[in-house]
Amino acid sequence: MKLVYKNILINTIISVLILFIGEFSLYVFLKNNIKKEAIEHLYLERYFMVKQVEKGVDIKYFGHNIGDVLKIVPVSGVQYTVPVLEDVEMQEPGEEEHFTSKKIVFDIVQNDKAYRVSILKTIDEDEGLSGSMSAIIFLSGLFMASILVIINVFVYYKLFSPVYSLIKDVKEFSVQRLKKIVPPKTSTKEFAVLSREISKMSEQMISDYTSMKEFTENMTHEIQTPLAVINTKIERCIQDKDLTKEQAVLLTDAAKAVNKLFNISKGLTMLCKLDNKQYNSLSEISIKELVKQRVQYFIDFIDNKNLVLTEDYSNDVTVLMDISLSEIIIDNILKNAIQHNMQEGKIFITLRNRQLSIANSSGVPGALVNRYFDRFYSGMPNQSLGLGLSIVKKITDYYSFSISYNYSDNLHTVTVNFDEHKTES
Amino acid sequence: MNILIVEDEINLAKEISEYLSDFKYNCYTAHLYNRSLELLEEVEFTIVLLDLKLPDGNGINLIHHIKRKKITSGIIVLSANDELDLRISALDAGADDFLIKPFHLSELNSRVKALIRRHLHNGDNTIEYNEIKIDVPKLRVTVKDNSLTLTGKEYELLLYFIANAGKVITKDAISYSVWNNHSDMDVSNEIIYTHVKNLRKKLLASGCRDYIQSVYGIGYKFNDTGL
Repeated sequence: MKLVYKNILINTIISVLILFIGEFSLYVFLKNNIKKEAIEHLYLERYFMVKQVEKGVDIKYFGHNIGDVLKIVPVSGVQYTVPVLEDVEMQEPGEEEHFTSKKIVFDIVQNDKAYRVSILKTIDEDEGLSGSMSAIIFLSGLFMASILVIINVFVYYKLFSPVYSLIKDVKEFSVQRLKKIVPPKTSTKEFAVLSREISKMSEQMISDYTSMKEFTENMTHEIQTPLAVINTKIERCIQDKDLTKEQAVLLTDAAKAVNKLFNISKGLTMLCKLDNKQYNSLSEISIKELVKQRVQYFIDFIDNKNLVLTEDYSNDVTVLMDISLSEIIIDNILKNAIQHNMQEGKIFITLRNRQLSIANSSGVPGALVNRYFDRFYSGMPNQSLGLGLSIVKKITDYYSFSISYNYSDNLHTVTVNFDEHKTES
Repeated sequence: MNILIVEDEINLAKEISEYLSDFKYNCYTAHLYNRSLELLEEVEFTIVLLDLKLPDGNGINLIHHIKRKKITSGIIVLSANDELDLRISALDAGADDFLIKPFHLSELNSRVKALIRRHLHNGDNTIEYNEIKIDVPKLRVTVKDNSLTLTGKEYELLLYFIANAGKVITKDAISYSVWNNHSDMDVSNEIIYTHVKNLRKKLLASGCRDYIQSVYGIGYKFNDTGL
């Protein structure tokens, strides 16, 4: 949940709760007050009557101006010397509404005659007043609360805009783009500190990345010339007429190691360039034609192992990508399928539904599936560099293709799906 | 024929020079850009082997210089950097070939020879080695007027052998030049063996002497001494 909504929700819940509690207590308070006042009023009226009667005003003259309903009934004897309060529920005929009234009953004596006086006062009307008062207060409270929410949202967005722009920058940040995060302008101290620190971090990451990249690039470049020197020295030694067989073997092994180093540096250079997104040229490539051509290229190697090649190009796929990279994908997978195959083994090439599968038989059980495309992972000792398939993986990632490896029925299958997969990032 | 080797790595320049000298080329070496300018003034070179990264200048500029001065030397760039852009800019500037370090001297030698053939003998592009005659543009091989039918790879092998006649050639170098770039395949040795065997058989059948000698553990030597 977004911070702003969380904030609004909490604010709303609390203010509505407060509003209700306040409203309820106000209502109860008002109601009680009105009741209390009505009772006080009744006592006052009684007091007034008693005083008037003492002064000699005839009791029969009291009438309309006292209470809502005044009843004076002659009684035989004084019973209520102390006034008694009663609640009266009344219902007008034909109407559902109840009236709550307060009644005070007391006896009064005039000219030795006793009268029972009851003064009745309805309080419903006043209660209506308390209700409408509460309603007005409630509505204005509600109005204020909603205004507050709106202000809150505005203030929030204004206040948090640097944080949002920072989040956006962090999301878009890619160390390969070499663009550090610029801290957004803000007068909020915490945000300023946060963005400054994040900016510093991004700067550090970029500088680390750059130096690492430079190191790899320089390393792979600088290694070529010394390798060339070693190579030429070995080649010269080989020309020696008095070379013994032992020396020849030693030199060949040395040359092999040099060659391996050279291939490593070549592979790493390629991975570097892929990391740096240095392949921008796009060509339309027919995978069918490409695979056919590359198979032809490897035909000597396939024949040498007497491999049985089964090709099935059901539908062709046209892909937009760099030519050299497309060749590398096919070459490396094919190379893999030939190299790890057994004598008189099988290779199945299937191009169907935008998927290219290259499967090879092998006596060796399946490699660790999750490590198959890792750098320098080679299922067997001393066989390959383990860079080939990780380069393939890098290239497929580069173009958002997907690649998978599967081992079943003694077949190793590498499948490339040329549909672009939007990766969540 | 004079060859100028412009290479700042002294060791490498020396080895190239010694290897090529065995094929009767006069090799001059320059370790600096400015020295190569001087040499280009003094001597007429058939081929210039050029490293692009020099301590006091850029090899591309030297290509421009050669073209500006209308020097007719063929240019082969030797570079540790195999970036496509660099290759294109070198070839655009006027380089004739591009070889990536590390390379095999035999490979360099056969490239030098191919360039000389293209460069000097415009019309007559043939290679002769005793009784073997190769018409390069027509891809035709004859031995004592017997026409030979070779596969593409066998033909390339033969060219490579003749270019480096008298030298021991490693299987690695062969696999690199004839089956380019796939020298890391573990099956390449057998394939080379098979193709060399077939080539030798065809040559012998056409009445050619047996020039192909295998050198234990290393590779082959194509020569006519001791026959």
